[in-house]
Formats: sequence, C-alpha cells, structure tokens
Amino acid sequence: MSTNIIVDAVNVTKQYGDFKALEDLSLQVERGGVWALLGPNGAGKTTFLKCLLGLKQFDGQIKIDGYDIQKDPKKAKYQIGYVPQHPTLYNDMTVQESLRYFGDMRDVKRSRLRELLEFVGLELWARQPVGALSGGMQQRLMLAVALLSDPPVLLLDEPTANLDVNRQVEFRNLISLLVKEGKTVVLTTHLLGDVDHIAEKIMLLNKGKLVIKSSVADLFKQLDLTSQMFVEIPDNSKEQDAISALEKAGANDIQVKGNWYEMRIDPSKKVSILNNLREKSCEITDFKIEEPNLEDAFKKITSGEEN
Amino acid sequence: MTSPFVMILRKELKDSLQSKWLITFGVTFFFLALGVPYIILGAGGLLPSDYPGMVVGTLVTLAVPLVPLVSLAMSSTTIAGEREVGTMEYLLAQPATKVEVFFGKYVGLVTSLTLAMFLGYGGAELIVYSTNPEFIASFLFALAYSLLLAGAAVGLGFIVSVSVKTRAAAIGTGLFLWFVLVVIYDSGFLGVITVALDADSLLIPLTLANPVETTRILALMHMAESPLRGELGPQAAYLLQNYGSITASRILTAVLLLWVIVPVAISFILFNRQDAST
Ligand SMILES: Nc1ncnc2c1ncn2[C@@H]1O[C@H](COP(=O)(O)OP(=O)(O)OP(=O)(O)O)[C@@H](O)[C@H]1O
Ligand SMILES: [Mg+2]
Repeated sequence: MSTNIIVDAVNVTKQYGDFKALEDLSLQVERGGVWALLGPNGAGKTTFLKCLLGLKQFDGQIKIDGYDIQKDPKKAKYQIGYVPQHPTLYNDMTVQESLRYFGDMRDVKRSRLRELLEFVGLELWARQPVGALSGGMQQRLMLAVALLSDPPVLLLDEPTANLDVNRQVEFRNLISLLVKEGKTVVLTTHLLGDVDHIAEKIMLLNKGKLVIKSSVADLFKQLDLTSQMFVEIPDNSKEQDAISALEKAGANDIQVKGNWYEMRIDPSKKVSILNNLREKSCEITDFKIEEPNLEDAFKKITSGEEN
Repeated sequence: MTSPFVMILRKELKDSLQSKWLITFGVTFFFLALGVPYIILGAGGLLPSDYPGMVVGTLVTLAVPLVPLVSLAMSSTTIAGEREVGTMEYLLAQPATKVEVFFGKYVGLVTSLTLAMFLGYGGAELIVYSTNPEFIASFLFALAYSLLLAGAAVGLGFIVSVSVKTRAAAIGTGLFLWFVLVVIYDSGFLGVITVALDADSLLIPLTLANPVETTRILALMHMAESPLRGELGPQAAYLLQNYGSITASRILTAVLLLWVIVPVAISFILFNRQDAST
C-alpha cells in the first residue's frame, strides 16, 4: 500500500483495571523519517509501541501500512521491525543462528544475513552465543534481526538508553542510513540529544494522551523559540548597512556590542542572514549560533500546562 | 517460507530433547525398568519365563508417577520461562500468531515426550517380543496410556505456565500439582474421604477427577485381564462390577481423552486473552 500514512492509530484506549495508560489516542505517522516518541516516565510510550505491535489488547483501531493489527496481525507485523528496550534473543543461540531463526520466519534469503551482520559490525561474532555479547552488541544484533525482512517501519524502544556515548553516535549513524533508504523510524527516548541529532519530528505523550505532534522546526516556531546569532563585523562604518541587512533578513532584538552584533533569529534564517550581510559588503570575520534546544521547548510546554 | 509454527515447534523439540528432565526420564525408564535386570538376570541364566510380565508391571508402576512428573515439569516452565526473560513477547512481535506460538510449543513438547516414551518402551518391547510375544499387546496398551497421560499432564502444565509470571513459580506450581495428583491420591486419600463421608459414590468421580488415577485404574483393569493377571484395586473392582469391563474401559479412556483436550483448550483460551507482554 502506498498512502502517505504508514502508522494509523484511531481512538486507541488501553486500560489496566481502572487506569487508562492510553486514552483515546489518535495519531497518524507519515511515511519516512525519524519520529521521536517523547514523554515523562509512565506517559504510555512503551504501551503505545506494544499496541502497535499487537502485543497488548486495546480498544480502537491501529493500521500499519494499511493492515489492521487486530484483524490481520500477521501481515501487519510483517511490516514492522521491533527493537525492545532490553535485548531478548535466546542467549544460547549464536548470533548467526538467531538471525537464521528469525529470518526463516520471515522468509529471508541467507545472503541478507551476511549483509546485515556487516551492517551492524558483528561479522566476527557470528559464531558466538548471544549471551556472550556485550549489551551494545546485543542491541545492534536486535537491530539486525529487526531489519531482516526489510520492513518499512522500525519501532525502537529507548534504543540508546543502554549505550555509551560512542555507541550512541554509531547507533544514530545506523539509523540515519536507514532513513535514507526510506524507512519510517519511531523511537522512544529520554535523551533529548537523540532528538536533536536524529529525529526531525516528535510526538509528545503525557498521561496517555497526545500533547504535541510536529516537526522539531515547527515546534520551535510554534513555541516561538528562536536561535541566538552572533556576528562579528570589524568595519564600524558598515554599522547602519549591517543593521538594515539584518532587519531585512528577519533578525530581531539586534544589539551591537563592539564589533559583535547579537540578535534573535528564526532557526531557519541563518543562511539568509549571512547572505544579506555579504550582499551589503559587510565583511564577516566570525560568527556563532546558539540553537534553541528541546529542553527549552519542554520547559515552556510543561510550564504552560501547569498554569 | 518456513512457517513460524514449524520454527517454534522445531526449537521446542530440540530444547526439550536436551532437557535434563527428559534425559533423566528416558535413561531411568530404559535401564531401570528393563535393561539392567534383564542383562543381569540374563547373564546369570536366571531369566524367568514370565519376565516380560514383570517388566510390564514395573513399567506401569514407574510410568504412572514419572510420566506426569516429567511432563508437568517441562510444560509448566515452557511459556512462563520465555515470558520471564522477554523472548515470548519478542516471538509474538514477529509475524507469528498466538495460535502458531502456543501450538508450536505444545506440539514440540508433546513430540519430544512421545519420542522419549517410544525409546523407553520400544527398547523393552523388542526384548519382550524376543522372549515372549504373548505380552506385546500389553506393552502397546501401556505405551498408549502413557502417551495419553503425558498429553493430559502437558495440558495441565500449560495452564500453570500461562497463569504464573516466573519460571520459578511455574516449576513450584507444577511440582505441587504433581504432588497432589500422584502422592496425595496415592496415600489413601480416596479411601479416607469415602469412608469419612460414608459415600462410596464419590469414589469414581474422585478417580476421574485425576488423570493420573484414571490412567492407573485403566492400566490395572487391563493388566487384570491380560496374561499378567495383576490385582484390581477397589476402584477398578467397583467399575468392573457396575459397568463391565468394556464399558468401564471406554468410560475411562473417554475421560482420559477429555483430560488431554480440555486443559490445552483452557490454557490456550487464557493465553489468547492475555496481553502478550507485561
Ligand atoms: N501491565 C501493566 N499493568 C498495570 N499498569 C501498567 C502495566 N504496564 C504499564 N502500566 C502503567 O501504564 C503507564 C504507562 O506505562 P509505559 O510503560 O507505557 O510508560 P512509558 O512512557 O514507557 O514510561 P518510561 O519512560 O518509564 O518507559 C504507567 O503508569 C504504568 O505504570
Ligand atoms: Mg517505556
């Protein structure tokens, strides 16, 4: 199927006794890119991923690439590669056996196994039992298993939580490669760094409800979050030209401190500011930018909610 | 594409054939019930002519407690164990249905038990056949009853396995169930109850309420009629008296078949209703 909506959840409610872990949640995920599913502890992120996989029974409807997870679970699950928060392969199987076991279930060619082993950098561990691998390696193996049948959707539950900084960078690089292939990645995370680095789009859950779904850039715009930009122009005679160029490019609150011009800008306007200055022949000797970050965004959102 | 059902079945079969429970069971069964006494007596030229009869008696005496022990121990842990470590949830996240996962495991486990029993009985069978073919039918009956008993015990074990959260709780509950079905029933509990309540009519329902007991009575009835001429206990005697041997063994066999089917059905319904993950 090729509609633009790849994950379609309609009025999903998941109840544990009287407690609603997800409440009437409707949420459409468009094809392609990395979506970060964010929210405080207990918001329902894991519960939602597990509903998408049909691992939990729920009220409402979920379709994965057009297949209903409740009515047509096999086809729906075939579209998903899942990496749970903790590695859950069989410890006594070797790396290769694990790939074969889950590969055979999805009718995957043997050549694909080798390809994936290379992709996650585990060729040398192929004959080792899974239990002997480090946590980071197991995580990468799980990613390889999830990719076996080349599914269009990847669901990753806190994929970077157990990785050291270097491994996090590696993992993010792998994810970026996958997105270039056109995959849709939905990941939950606590690390806003993940979002800053790989996710272009976020969905924020709170108490089982969807609070925000937007691209990171739109979110900043919506919340009126701006970048701080600093530009050094040593030629003082150009001050008026510089200021008018900056204003024309959309800069706000311009302040001049010696050779430095300080201003607030829309994060998307960085380049046009530099271009405008150059057009007016203002020679720039240095500049720096402080991007708005998600922490600011969430502080703003949560403070808004409390009031 | 190898269906998930076949993949899961194969893995369960392989794992259970390597299980210490099954290996211990197979070896014990083969050597204790048959091999060792046969070899020793045969070597000394002391093999009595009704030796195969004694073997059948020993096998049944051993099978009635051992088959449910092994079956319960293995089946009660199979789902609970995988659930505890998260592999069950992961399996269900694959393109596999609950039917495939559940029955893949069930059929795999039952197949491994069947293989073990074929080996245990099969070896005995060959030797018996070579000594005294008269007893061959008794062996086949003993094997068939043991398989039914294993099926019933696996079903009960699956109910335990889908109902508890950890492997430790599963094995504990499974062994407790074995204790009730085998040890308590065997300790004269039936006699005490029927005498205390002065209700002979409870004897049969209480027997049929226990698949192990049902199998034992069936075996006793069969042995009493075979060239083995075993002794009937009070339950078997009562049944024979009231229903005659054909009807009585049909009733018992039908009940045993129910014991094979109903617990599996119940455990699957429970499994199907549950969230696959905690
Ligand atoms: N099996 C269960 N029984 C009862 N309540 C549950 C169960 N599983 C989850 N919950 C509750 O549902 C809510 C959502 O849990 P969930 O694990 O989805 O949160 P989360 O957003 O993933 O949190 P975290 O960031 O800690 O991973 C929590 O309040 C949790 O206590
Ligand atoms: Mg979670």
